[in-house]
Amino acid sequence: MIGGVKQVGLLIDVTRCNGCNQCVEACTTENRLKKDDTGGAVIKGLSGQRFSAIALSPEGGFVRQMCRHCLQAACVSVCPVGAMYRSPEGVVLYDAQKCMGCRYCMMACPYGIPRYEWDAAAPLVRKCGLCTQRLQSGQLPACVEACPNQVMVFGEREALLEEAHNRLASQPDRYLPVVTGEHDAGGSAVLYISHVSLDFLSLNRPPGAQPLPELSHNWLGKVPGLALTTGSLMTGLFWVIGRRMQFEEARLRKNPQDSGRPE
Amino acid sequence: MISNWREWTKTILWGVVLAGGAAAVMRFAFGLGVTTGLDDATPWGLWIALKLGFVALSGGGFTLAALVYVFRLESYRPLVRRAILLALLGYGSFIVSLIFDLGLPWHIYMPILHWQHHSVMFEIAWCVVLYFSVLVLEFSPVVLEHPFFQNAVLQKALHLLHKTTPVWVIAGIVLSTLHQSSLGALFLMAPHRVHPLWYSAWIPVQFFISAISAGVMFLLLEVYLAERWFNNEARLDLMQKLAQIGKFTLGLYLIMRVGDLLWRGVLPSALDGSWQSVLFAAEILLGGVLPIVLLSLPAIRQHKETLITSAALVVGGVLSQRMALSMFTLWRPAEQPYTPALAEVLIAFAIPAAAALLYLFAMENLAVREGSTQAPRIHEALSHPQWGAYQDHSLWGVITQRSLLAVFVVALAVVLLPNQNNAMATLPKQPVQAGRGWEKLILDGNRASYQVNFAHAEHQERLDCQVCHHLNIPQDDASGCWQCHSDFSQPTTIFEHGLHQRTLQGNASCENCHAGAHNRHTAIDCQECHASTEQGERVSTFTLEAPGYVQAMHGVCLECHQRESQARGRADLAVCSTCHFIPQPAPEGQARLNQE
Amino acid sequence: MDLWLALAKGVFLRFVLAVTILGLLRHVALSLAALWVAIRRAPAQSLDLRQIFGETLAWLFPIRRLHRNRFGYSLASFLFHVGVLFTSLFLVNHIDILRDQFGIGWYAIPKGILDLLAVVTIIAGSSLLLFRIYASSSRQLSQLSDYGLLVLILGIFWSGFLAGRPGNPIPYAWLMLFHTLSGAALLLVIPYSKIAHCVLFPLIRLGSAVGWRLAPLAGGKVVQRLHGPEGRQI
Repeated sequence: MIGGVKQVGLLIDVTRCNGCNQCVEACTTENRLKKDDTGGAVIKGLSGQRFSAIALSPEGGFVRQMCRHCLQAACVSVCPVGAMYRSPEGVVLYDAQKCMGCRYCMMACPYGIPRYEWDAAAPLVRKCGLCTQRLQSGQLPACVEACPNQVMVFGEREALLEEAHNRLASQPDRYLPVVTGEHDAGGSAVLYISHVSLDFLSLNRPPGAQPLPELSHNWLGKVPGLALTTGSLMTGLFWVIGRRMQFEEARLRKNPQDSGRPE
Repeated sequence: MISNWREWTKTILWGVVLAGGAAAVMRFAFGLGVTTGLDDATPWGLWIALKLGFVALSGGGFTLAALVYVFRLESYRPLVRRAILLALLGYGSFIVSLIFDLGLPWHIYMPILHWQHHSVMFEIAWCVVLYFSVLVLEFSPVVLEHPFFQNAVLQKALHLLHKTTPVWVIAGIVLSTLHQSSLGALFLMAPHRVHPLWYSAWIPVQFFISAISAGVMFLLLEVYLAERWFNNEARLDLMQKLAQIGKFTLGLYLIMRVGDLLWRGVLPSALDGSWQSVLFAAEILLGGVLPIVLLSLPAIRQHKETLITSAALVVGGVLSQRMALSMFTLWRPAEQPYTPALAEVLIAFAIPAAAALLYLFAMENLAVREGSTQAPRIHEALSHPQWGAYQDHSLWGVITQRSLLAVFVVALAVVLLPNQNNAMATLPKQPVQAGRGWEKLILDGNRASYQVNFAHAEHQERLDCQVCHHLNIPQDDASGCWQCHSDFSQPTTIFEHGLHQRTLQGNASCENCHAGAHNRHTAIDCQECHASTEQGERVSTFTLEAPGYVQAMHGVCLECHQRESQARGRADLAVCSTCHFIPQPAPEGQARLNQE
Repeated sequence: MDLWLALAKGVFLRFVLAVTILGLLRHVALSLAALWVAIRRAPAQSLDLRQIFGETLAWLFPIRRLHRNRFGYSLASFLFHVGVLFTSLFLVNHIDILRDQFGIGWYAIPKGILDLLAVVTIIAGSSLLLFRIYASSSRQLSQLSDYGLLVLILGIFWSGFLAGRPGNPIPYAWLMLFHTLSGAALLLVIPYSKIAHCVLFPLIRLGSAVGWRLAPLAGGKVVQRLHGPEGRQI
């Protein structure tokens, strides 16, 4: 619950996906994405023009790759201008009017989700916004609606977690006993249950349970104190040394012969 | 015109700046993708590493200001203006390279409007803006002392600046303390990207202390180089003092760096002989331990040459730490390595070159050095705008010579920089392999087990070969798809003009294929000569390129399948799973799932 | 050979064209700056720009002036200029290369007309060369580069013309390579030789209009007269 509005979410059942790409197709249409200009090549994975993709797990499963909409999102936390922000429903959105293109969000995301329009002269960061425009009119996200195999369930995060644990409990042979996204990097709105390991979706290694923003907040919390300490230390030193030099001068004026230090 | 090594150096610097200027035009005209090596796997590259370096080398500014104005160590006063000049140029370079690096640089003022206290980058933005302003204020007395600015208002401002110096100095110390350390804190957020040998919760403190060391040592280098350039005596006692400060802070930094790695137990496991660990060892030993040992030897401290060698080692070590952390050892997928593009490198060299030229200009024309009088050059040129016999005026010679240099450098840059047609060539090549089987072909061009089991015999019964085998190589009537569509995703060239030209005896033969003008539009079809080349309805004109395999296969199947699915009212014919069949556990409970 | 041709039509061409265009721009900018400085020093600063423009046009299209000079030489020179400009700018093959390299192009003149024009240019250019050698006054004024540039241009025209003709004895590739490389060499020297008059031409009349107001080295002499032989310290 954030601000009285329920945290929305998405549950992805990896075992049901047969990689037909219809969700990607629907996403492309809904968000009016261009075709990638690559001479007709099929782009594997995300890009500035693909908010979601079907990734092939090393173990053979089809895994939907999309923004996790983390509850404590690294991208939101690092953005110096608030171009990345969380909507009241708990969806991580992007405001192109504020963005200055520093790409810190891309560095910070542990899943490598935000992508850049590298070919554009005025490039923007692009990523899934969970079809907020559709949610507001009471519709389901385009990908959920397009899926022929009911891979995804959209709803309130609490209810989805319950559903996920029910499925794990009822068919323990079918799933690995973990709901990905329940605790990872502080938890995310998008949850996965799967028969294959989803570690490969993370950059380098899966994030622990600690929310990434905490890492820099530890430092940022100390900044005001540090500024105050340095400032007052320097001012104090400046004053003390200045005073002592004045005394020294006065002393030398009084008896110019004495050049030694006072006891 | 170019008479000595100083002029040569300046000319080379100008050349580098001009080449960077050409690259800069490309950067803003075509965007980051074409002109840099950056991509989604490497959002931060060379320019970020460079920025960290600039700021580290600016560390002398606040150190010297603190020594002279706060600690009142008058012996350092001859150096304080030079340290501030270096810091000013360093932070200026930082801002310039930031403008190149930002995707939307015209939004650079946004952090001032939208406050995000939870972002390290936000804090850095404010610190840079404020500290740069402070540096300008700290340096402006040097400019205002110049005779050119002799007027009452400016002199009043100068007086005011002199009186308020301590305020600016203390503000500068606070701001750069925060900024130097926060630059390191940028990377706290990305433990998944930063190599364990460089990652630490103490990065901010390490950045701060090493910046003092690197800044002071860089000032030492500057003192020595300025002595060579301007023939003014560099004082050995001052150099020794600077080296002592640098040595002490370097030692502190080393203890903190290695101690933290040992304390957390990272060091033994990370020193595994990988190139990263070798780089780490070199950084610590050559850029840390060796200079400390050298500077502890009295014999080394007695000579300027050995002093600056040690200083150069320290500067190299700290720069290596900055660049390794933010660029070299940053994690990225193995299949997406990062190589800076030419334009990126040109700009990266041009920024320090421009800073060097500005440095020389300031040193020549302003009272930056101790005991130097204001050189009259700029004064004379500005107060007498009517040039003398202009053609032998030195300014005229300089303009003529630099502009000629500009012509060739910019032309060279135009040639070497990418044009947009090359943009798509970045897709990796992926040769296609032939299908297996015949009655039932297994089509899996890139062996990714995304295979299609194609009932070839069954299709053959119903269809003419030419429906699919639309253009065959000579003497063949059903060439495999992969023979022309030989790359998985990129179009490939299938017509060899040179070969035809050679086998048909050169210039006598153009008219064999071209009627009138000689270009691809006037060329005749292949089968006019190669009678055995079957040509289906799909290809009726002269073809130079075959589309990529995926596109070709989808093209040949989809069209027919969609048509037939409409004609026969069979929706199942035109969905992906018709061909891309992957065995899956049966879906169950479908109705319930979507009701939430 | 194919590689060399591709290089000559690609990378070399881009470099050479950039040098030519930037070099010419630099020349214009420097000349204008020099003129500006000169006119500021001149005692009378007003310029009849209209008259200068008219003069320039009259020299550019020398219809009325043909009879004043040696008629044959003037006619040959005029035809030569027309031929060089039109064949180089409006040949379909040249425009194709530009399209490939820079994505820009324009309408082409039919090849038959340009072939005819090439023959005319070669004849006109050869007669210019003969005039230059034959007339003793021009011979005395000529430098090596004056002959060299003419020969270079004629060579380019010959090779280009022959390369477009099937059945000539010289292999196509050799001709083409000679044509492209010598063309590149010509483009390279344009800004740094007298061919720079292709952009400096309008400035010639302007330059002489400014120049006659000034005594030679006036500025320097005045300074010396006022301030002694050291001159500079005003």
